[in-house]
This record gives sequence, C-alpha cells and structure tokens, in this order.
Amino acid sequence: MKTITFIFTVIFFTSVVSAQEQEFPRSKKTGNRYWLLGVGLSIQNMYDEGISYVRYKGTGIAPSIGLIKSAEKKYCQFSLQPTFNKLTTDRSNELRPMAVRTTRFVLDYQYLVKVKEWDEKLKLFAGGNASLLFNLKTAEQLDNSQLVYDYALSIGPAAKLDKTVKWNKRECVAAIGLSLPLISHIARPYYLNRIEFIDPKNDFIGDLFSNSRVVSVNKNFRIISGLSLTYPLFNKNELKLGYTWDFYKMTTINSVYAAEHLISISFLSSY
Amino acid sequence: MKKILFLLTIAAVTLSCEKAIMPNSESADAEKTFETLWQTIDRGYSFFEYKNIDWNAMYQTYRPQINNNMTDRELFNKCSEMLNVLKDGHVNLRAGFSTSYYNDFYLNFPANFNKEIIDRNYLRGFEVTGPLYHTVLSGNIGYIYYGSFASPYTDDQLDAVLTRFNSVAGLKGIIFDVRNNPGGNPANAYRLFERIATQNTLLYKTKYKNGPGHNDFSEEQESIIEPATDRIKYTGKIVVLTNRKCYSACNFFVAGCKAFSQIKIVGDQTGGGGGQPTGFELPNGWSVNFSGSITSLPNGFIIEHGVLPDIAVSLSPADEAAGIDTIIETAKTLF
Repeated sequence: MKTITFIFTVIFFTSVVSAQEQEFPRSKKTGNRYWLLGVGLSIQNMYDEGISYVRYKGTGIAPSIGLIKSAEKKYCQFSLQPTFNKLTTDRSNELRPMAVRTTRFVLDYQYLVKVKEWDEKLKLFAGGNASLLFNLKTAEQLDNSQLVYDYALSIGPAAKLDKTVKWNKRECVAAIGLSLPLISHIARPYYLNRIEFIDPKNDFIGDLFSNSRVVSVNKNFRIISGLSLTYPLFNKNELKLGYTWDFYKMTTINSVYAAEHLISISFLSSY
Repeated sequence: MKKILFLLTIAAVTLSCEKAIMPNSESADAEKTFETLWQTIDRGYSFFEYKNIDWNAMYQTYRPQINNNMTDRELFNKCSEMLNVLKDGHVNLRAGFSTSYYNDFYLNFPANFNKEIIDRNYLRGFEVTGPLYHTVLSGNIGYIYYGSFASPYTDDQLDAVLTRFNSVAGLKGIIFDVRNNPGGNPANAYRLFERIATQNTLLYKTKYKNGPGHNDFSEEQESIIEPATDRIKYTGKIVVLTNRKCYSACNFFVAGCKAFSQIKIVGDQTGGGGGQPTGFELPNGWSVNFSGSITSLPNGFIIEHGVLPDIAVSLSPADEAAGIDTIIETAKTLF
C-alpha cells in the first residue's frame, strides 16, 4: 500500500508540475495568472460511525491559498484549503460535553479546457480534478479512541460553466462548478480507532498508510460543487466570492458522512 | 431576480441532497441506548472467551428490564449492572452525572500500602524530580516512588534521578515503588525500560480486535524495547513493588519488568487491566469505554487479571502498627 500511495503522490505532483510548466510558461505569458488568497466560513456536518451514531455540526474558519491560470481556452487552478472547525451535537450538555475538533486539509489541482461556448458569454469547461483530502478529527471525550481520520487521494472528472454578467458597470464572471472523484486511495482508522499506545514503536503515520486501499465511488463517494462570482478590481486584480459544497461518504470497516458548506471571499492578485 | 432565484435553487438542491444522504442521529431513548451499548460491547470487547462470558445471555437478562419510561438514573444503573458482569476496570459507562467503575479488583484484597508510613519513615528527606519522589534508604539502597503513569516525566528528569543514584558510592540497587499506581500512559514505562535494556527486549505480545466477532483479532504484535544509546543508563539491580491497585499502564509496566533479569517484583499481584481501553458514544450522549485488545507475556500468560510477583509479600498488621513497610523491608534484603 505504501508503494501505491507513493505512486499516487508522485503522479499527482508530477501532473501538477508538468501542467504548470505547460500552463505557466515564463517566456510566453498568455491569459491571466493569479495568486489566490482567501478566507472563508466553513459549516460542517458529520456523521462518523467510528465515533458514534450521532450527527455533529459546527462552524470554523477556512483560509485558502492558490494559483489560477485562466486563458481563453483553458482554466487551471491549484489550491490549498485548510479548515479548522469545532463540531458539537444537540446531545451534548454541560455535564458531559461532546465535541469533535476537525482539522481538514484539501489540496486540489484542477485542469479544464473549453468544450463549448455560446454567444461569448457562456462557456463550458471540462477536464479533471486531483484532490488530496485529509480530515483529522479529535473527540477528546473518547480517550484512546479520540483520533479519527479520513484520508483520500482522488482523481476524477470536473466541469465548470462560466457566464459573463454585467454588474456595477463591470464585467463579472459567474461560475458554477462540479467535480466527482472516481478513483481514490483512501484510509480510515483501524477497527475501534485503535492507536497502538501499548507498542513502544507505535507509528501513527505508518499505520495510516498500511491501512489504506484503492477504491471507486462505491467506497468513496465525493461530490464537490460550487458557485462563484469574480469581480474585477484594479490592475487586473479580482475579488472572488464563492460558495462550495463538498460532501463525501467514505466506507471502510464503517462509514463516515461529511459535508462542508464553505462561503469564501478571495483576493486574486494578478502576476 | 432570475439570477438570485437560480442561486437559491442551487443552494436548496445541495442542502436537500445532503439531508437525504446523511443519516440523522439515532434516537436517544432508553431502549435504543441500551441496544447500542449492548451491541458496542458485543462487537468490541476482547475478553468474552477468556472470561467465559455469555454476552447473549446478558441481553436476555437485561433487555426486558429496559423501557422508554425509565429515568436516566434507572437506565444508568441497569446498564452499569450489566457492564459489571465483565469484571473489568477498563469498562466504564460515562453519563455525565456519574461514571460506572468496576473496582473489585482491589477492593476484595488487602491494600498492602500505607503512604503515611512511607512518607514518615522512608521518604524523609526526599527529593522530587517531576513526578518521581526519590531518596537513598538506610543500607545504601535507592528508592523511587512513582504514583501515576498519567504523570509524565521527561528524559532529562530521568537522567537527573539516575545520575543521582549512579553517583552514590556502593549503591546496592534501586527500589521502584509503583503501588497504588492506577495507570496512565505506557510511554512513561518505556522511557525507564530504555535505560535498563542492554539489547532489544520483547516485553509482551498484543492482539487487537479487528472485527465484530468475539474471536476477530489481529495477528499478535510484539512490543519490543530498544536500549537508549545516548542517555544515562542504570544497569544495577532493581526491585519493583506492587499491589492490587497497580492497574492498567502500571500493569503493563510490571508485565514488561518480567522481561529483565535484573528486576525482581515484590509485593502482591497487580490489579490487572490488560486490554487497551477503547471508547464509543451512545445515542443519548453517554459513552462507554471497554477493553479492545489482549496482551500476554512472551510465555503466553494473559495479563488481564494481573501479573504475579516473583516474591509475594503482604504488609503485616504488626509491622504496619510499628511504622514498618514489610514489602520495602523484604525488598531491601534482596540486594
């Protein structure tokens, strides 16, 4: 499994680097290129059978950084989105607080090409998405079983529909996007969330990868959809308002359902 | 207006999709809580066969006594009663207003420990390094009291203690007293073992539950300690003092001591606690902790019910009345 992880990781980052080399040729600057710096409000819902049969929900913050290359016929985005949430449940009370802290990292690379255009104002892009998801959950009330994680390195198709709209006398782009990972390398904790505290050589990271497998949508169903509005500012810089819904159901020895609603505002700095 | 309607439609579709796909919390009523508790133990507890417990029979006994008109307290009492059948200090029902706890593993036995006597007659003039209380007893014997494996000590702190004892001319050995130590983190035991070990040493073997069947276990995994190479070592004799309140991580520590020829264990059998505690939440917000593994010595002896001392000694009432700790005095004769 470590080998598969290694191969997946190499393919993922190689594709990112090679695509960036193709898309961001230093000698021939075409289209628009941006650094993305954003912040968002994350609202998460979770039902993790590794912890309980209780649904948790809560809010948190979600900073993000990324690179965007946008040309007439191609769109390419590389982004890192960490979110930090504290989830709780209506079953919690002051006598026995129930809380799950989540630290979630999503590293995405999306490469799309224009496949259809209507009246120069409506454009359909399609392509692929590679996504690395790691969601570490800590439920302190469960002592030795408190650490639960969801890991998935996935690839699958993605699409985006752009519509140019006039707003405030400026040409904005409203976009709706969709991504569906098809093949994933996933890992969840061992049975009973065991971490081998009674082994002097306890190796959490090693255990994580030794417990991993390659699956399809039947074991890792994930859907990422989003809406955004990009508003032009000065010097080709832009402001992006976005809403993303990211849902997954991952199944190993038990299932986890997790959904995130992310409302974000990002500054796109042209370079 | 059309655009706003479009956006609202998209948001509504995603929210309703999520509501349809994601399960709701299970019902929090007494019957569902009991069912989940029984099933969680059924699928996760590791010692059914070792303790010869018929868990299905427990369901037949207790399920008819559960109904949704019960108060939380009544439900808690019934569930705790059922869990106590497991006779396991690692099994706790945590309801917020109370936590069930099985403690007959020490209540049914002599205490074999009197802290007052130790404080007044043995530890007088002691030094404290982190959680380690230490002194040099009459007869030139080092003494360390460690009261909880939940209190961590650092490598530097252990260096300081061992440096002190290594510098005592003619030191005959060290008594390491872990009586009344209820456990904590086994890593605090490994830190000491690394200083004692001269080669890779097998402490014990553990198999973990890996499925819902009562006999679904992983392969046995060996816990091996590697000697520290860049820290202060202690290669002299050690006597470890134990009683029935030595539980959980302390029990694992004493089990590990069996692997070292320079360590003798003196006192009473340890209280046990040989499964790694595991937790799960119940639908009403309570949680249950239970053992999810089986650890045995290299010779196959399962440590769930405790580790036997090399030399069994009890605190004699006459000695106790005279301010003498029989177990420490016996340990002193072994150097």
